[in-house]
Amino acid sequence: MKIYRLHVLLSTDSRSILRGALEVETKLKEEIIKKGLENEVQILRTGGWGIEEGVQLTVYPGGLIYVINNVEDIPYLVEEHFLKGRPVKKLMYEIDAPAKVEMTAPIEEEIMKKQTRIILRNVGLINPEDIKEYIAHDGYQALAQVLSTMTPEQVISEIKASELSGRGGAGFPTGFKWELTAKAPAKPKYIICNADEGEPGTFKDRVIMEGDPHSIIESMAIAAYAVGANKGFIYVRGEYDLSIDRLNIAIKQSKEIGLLGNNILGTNFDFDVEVRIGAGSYVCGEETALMESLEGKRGEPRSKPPYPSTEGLWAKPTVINNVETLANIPLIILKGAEWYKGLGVEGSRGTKVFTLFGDVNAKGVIEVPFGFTLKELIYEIGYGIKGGKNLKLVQLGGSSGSFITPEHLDVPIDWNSVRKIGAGQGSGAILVLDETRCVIDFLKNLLAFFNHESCGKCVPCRVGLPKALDLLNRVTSGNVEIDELGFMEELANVMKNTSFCGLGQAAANQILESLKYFKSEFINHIETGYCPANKCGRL
Amino acid sequence: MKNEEVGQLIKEYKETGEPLLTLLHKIQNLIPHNHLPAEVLKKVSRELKIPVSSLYSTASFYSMFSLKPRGKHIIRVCSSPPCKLEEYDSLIEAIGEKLNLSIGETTCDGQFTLEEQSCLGLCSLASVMMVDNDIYKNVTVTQLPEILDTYVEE
Ligand SMILES: Cc1cc2nc3c(=O)[nH]c(=O)nc-3n(C[C@H](O)[C@H](O)[C@H](O)COP(=O)(O)O)c2cc1C
Ligand code: FES
Repeated sequence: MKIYRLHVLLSTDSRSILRGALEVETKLKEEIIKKGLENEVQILRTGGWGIEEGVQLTVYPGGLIYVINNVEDIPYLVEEHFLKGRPVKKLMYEIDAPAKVEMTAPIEEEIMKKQTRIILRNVGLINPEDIKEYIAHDGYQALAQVLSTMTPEQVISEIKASELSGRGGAGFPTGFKWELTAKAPAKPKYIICNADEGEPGTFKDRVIMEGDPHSIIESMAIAAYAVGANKGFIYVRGEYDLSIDRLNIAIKQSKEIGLLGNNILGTNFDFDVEVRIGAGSYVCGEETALMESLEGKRGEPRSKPPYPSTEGLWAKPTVINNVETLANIPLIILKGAEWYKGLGVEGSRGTKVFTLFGDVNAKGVIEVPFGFTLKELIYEIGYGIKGGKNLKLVQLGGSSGSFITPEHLDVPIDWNSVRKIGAGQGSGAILVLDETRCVIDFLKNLLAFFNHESCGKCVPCRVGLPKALDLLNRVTSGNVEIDELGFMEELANVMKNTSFCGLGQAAANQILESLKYFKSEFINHIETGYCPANKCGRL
Repeated sequence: MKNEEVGQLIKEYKETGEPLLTLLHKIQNLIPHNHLPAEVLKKVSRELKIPVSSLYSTASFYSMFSLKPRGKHIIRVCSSPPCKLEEYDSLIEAIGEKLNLSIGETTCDGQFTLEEQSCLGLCSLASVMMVDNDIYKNVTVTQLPEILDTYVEE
């Protein structure tokens, strides 16, 4: 084995690639050869740390992070740091908060200091296309431990004891879900990984699939063993090319060394996983619609009950879990439920991955234990609002999530606390909007999205959304009476109470929350014909 | 209309037991103008003994499939709320002016179709758009002509 003096981790998730990671890689290699360092410096492709700027290079030993915005800076970096050993401060990560923040310490002491990485433990650190690196970071050890020392019942009781809850939006206890399927008599059983991530503003699952695909496969195998399934499907959005590629590579590599297939690790456990690709539909993220789609049909939600646990894919008992939920499993097995329960707060154990973006200084993909407040997330980890402006609104959990207004910034983000203020934490998207944004315009965009994605199966959603949009258009064109806002509220309540699935209910929530927190803005628009944000057409 | 190749794909589908959506993706990629014409759906229906109505019901549901002929290049502008906070409106307007095109339409010369795209999970890079399989980030109106010109045929 070759021993290198320096290891350079290069972020190559899709966001980094769009920012020029492959050009950076080519230039780096060129310069390294030019300086004759090819036997001393090794470049390794990894996922991203979740820094939403430039292409990240992390240099070990040391762990210093460079953020490359321009390939022309590379010759200097190679000469100074790689050849002469002098770190280049001006190419390090810098946050453009009112007072500039320079990130010149190693990654562990700087960006990761406030975070706890369980789910993203390998993302940014290992090459997602090489199973050996996953194994070197304890990969597949949990599976080995489960198969050799635990009964299926023990696995389920460990997951139950950890109080792991689903990260796909609803927070259902995972161990309980597995138990229902394990106890269902019908056969065969299936495991599905829900990787249809379509919630606007959410890209956490993508980060996991692009940075650590094996963790999903390992977790699915553990789930399969626990419930008695032999077949799994990962349903990925058709638009997520790189996720699809990396999952397929991971599956192929696992098969080659016998971690998938028949008689895994010499036991009598067989398990196989296939990637299935969606074709563009938001509602297919809903678990029963997803199963319809997997069966090759229109992705319309089914009536529940029966629930998927007992009658899911092809009417067989099925466990369906979100990508992020699954990524927790290996560490729960390796470190134990007690350890896991030490993270987070009562009722919400473990950590949560958030995508923080919008009008915030340091956008990013971050992971913290449950119980952090939005204030901490936005002002400490995100370094505050862009341009020193004031916060108007946070949309937590994506387009079907909840509005959080500044007075609730101190509420901890965990299932119970968020529920107390009538909100939900949804997918983990944190969209920050500053005082210059117009709520009416934002609501219009939200409703247009739901209208586009409504599957048309039920009347309240199919008919209600165009009605609500029409009303909003009349608010911004000045062609509406104030009491029609009452009608809008009534319409939203009907949609909320009678829509068939979460889509129509979520859409209605957006209307109700806008009216609850920003009614004066509606009235202002109607009475003065003026949009303070200068966003709405006529005004 | 690529009868033989479609036949081959159907044969592979039968042999491998791949999912129906994958078959439809493959057929659509094969057909000029990126769509699933009625006669092709009928052929699939005959050979797989699936009623045309249920194929139609599936194909018409998903936004990645089209039953109408589309342009050689498909422009998809992300229209989800986070991207709409950025440049969406002006992008749609500028594309409209440059190519005389609005959402859902195809240019007369059959070169471009303009579609809305749901969130691509690249929201920290808003506004995002795609042309065919190429993704563009932080797109502004000033960059637009240059991007589109790379797809215009001489
Ligand atoms: C309209 C709608 C869209 C959804 N989209 C997703 C999605 O993209 N990804 C996901 O994991 N769950 C989504 N869900 C939630 C799933 O129905 C389901 O609760 C989840 O896959 C369960 O996994 P978990 O227990 O691991 O959270 C959606 C639900 C609704 C109502
Ligand atoms: S909203 Fe456009 S990529 Fe997410």
